[in-house]
Amino acid sequence: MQSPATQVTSLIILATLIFLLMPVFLILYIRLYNKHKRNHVIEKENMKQQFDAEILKTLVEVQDQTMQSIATELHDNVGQLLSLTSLTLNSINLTDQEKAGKKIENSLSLLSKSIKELRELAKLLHGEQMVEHGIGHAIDQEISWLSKTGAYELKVSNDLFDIQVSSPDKDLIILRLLQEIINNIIKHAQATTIQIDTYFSDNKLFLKVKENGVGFNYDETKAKKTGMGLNSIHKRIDMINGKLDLDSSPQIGTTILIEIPYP
Amino acid sequence: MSTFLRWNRAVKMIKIISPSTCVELICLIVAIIFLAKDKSLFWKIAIVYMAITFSTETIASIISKVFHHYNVWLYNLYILVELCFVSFGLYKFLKEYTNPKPIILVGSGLMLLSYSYDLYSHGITELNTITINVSAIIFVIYSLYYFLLLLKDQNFIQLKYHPQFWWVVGVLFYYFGGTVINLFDEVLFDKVSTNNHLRWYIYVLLNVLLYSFWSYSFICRARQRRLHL
Repeated sequence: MQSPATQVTSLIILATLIFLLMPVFLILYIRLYNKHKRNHVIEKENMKQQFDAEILKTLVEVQDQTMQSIATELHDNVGQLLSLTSLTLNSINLTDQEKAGKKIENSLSLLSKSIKELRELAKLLHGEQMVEHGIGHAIDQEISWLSKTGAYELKVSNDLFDIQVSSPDKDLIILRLLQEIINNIIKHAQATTIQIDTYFSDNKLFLKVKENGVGFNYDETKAKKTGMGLNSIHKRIDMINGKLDLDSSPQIGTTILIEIPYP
Repeated sequence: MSTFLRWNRAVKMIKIISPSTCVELICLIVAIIFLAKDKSLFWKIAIVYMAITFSTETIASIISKVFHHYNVWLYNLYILVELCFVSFGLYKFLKEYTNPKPIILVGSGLMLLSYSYDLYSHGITELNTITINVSAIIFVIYSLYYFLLLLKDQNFIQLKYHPQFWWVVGVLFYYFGGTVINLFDEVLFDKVSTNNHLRWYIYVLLNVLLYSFWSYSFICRARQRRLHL
């Protein structure tokens, strides 16, 4: 049996050890928690880097789209107008002053039309920075370009001109989303009517595009992962914590509603 | 000088050297080496504090072992310096996360009250046990509060090289580890005289822990200063 003195000694040693062990466990816990915090910070940094990379990719895509539109416009429109002007001017016979006058008049008309088209192109080039003037203007620019093709009956309701808040990164992504949706409609939908509605409500931006094209099986396309444009739309919407509601029926058309927290 | 006198002086010198004075001296040397160029007021004061601590411990040993007088009054005076320095350190580190003025003022008020009560009740010749107990509890609370704020803070820090963290760890080990011998001092020790040796060993252990952590924090501080962290 232990003497009282030994018992007290053991008690003191044990109690002190316990009191010293508690800070040890506390430090271990803080270390572990800090490790988690570090992983979280690294993860956040990676996500930010991914986001920045995606923004850069989107910017390049928007620029590509603009350049393609300009190239098409130069080739199909301005180029043709100038060729016609050149032909008309070449065919002028100065001895026949009456005809020459008419041809010069025609050439001037063609030239002024070319100048007008070039101004439109300049606007489009400037439109690369169009998100700087707000998402409302950027969408309007995109729609006006679509309307110029004359291939679709457009019904537009754009209520984003006067919104007081802005988010340049999100604007760029929204613009690219609209471009991709329009590209898909042009390439696959065979639609005749396109309805575009945009509005801002409860810190959310809504973009609705409805067309009367051939439609498609959404689930099948998503499962096959063949719709690269669709995958890209999904990825970008997820990136900005948005929601996509897609309703498509064969021969009836497709309606896409995108909801994005904004700004 | 005769051989006897030399021998006698050597014996007295050995007597005044204790593990606590050794670890304090090492900590002071580390502080001088790593903090001498520091521009921060707290870290500069740390050198002065370590010098005061080492001097106090050495003088107390000389008074006790060479002149065989009570040295408690010296420790009672030293407590004031200790309380000011540790409070200042914790104030400085808590300030990185919050405004610690209210809790530091309340804590300092309580410590001052208990010190005054100790002096009033038994004078300077008996150890200020109430002050020691009260300050230990307050410093443990401050340290835990610091860790809580550290955990809550969203920014990640490299704990391994964070001088503030290791300095507070030292404080927590010393004051929390000393809880048993502080709180149950009279109950546990007065009845069994042999436990006085045990108390001495525990204090040595706590001192070794405190000054080891502080020495490491001084080294980390030099690294922090060098890297402009």
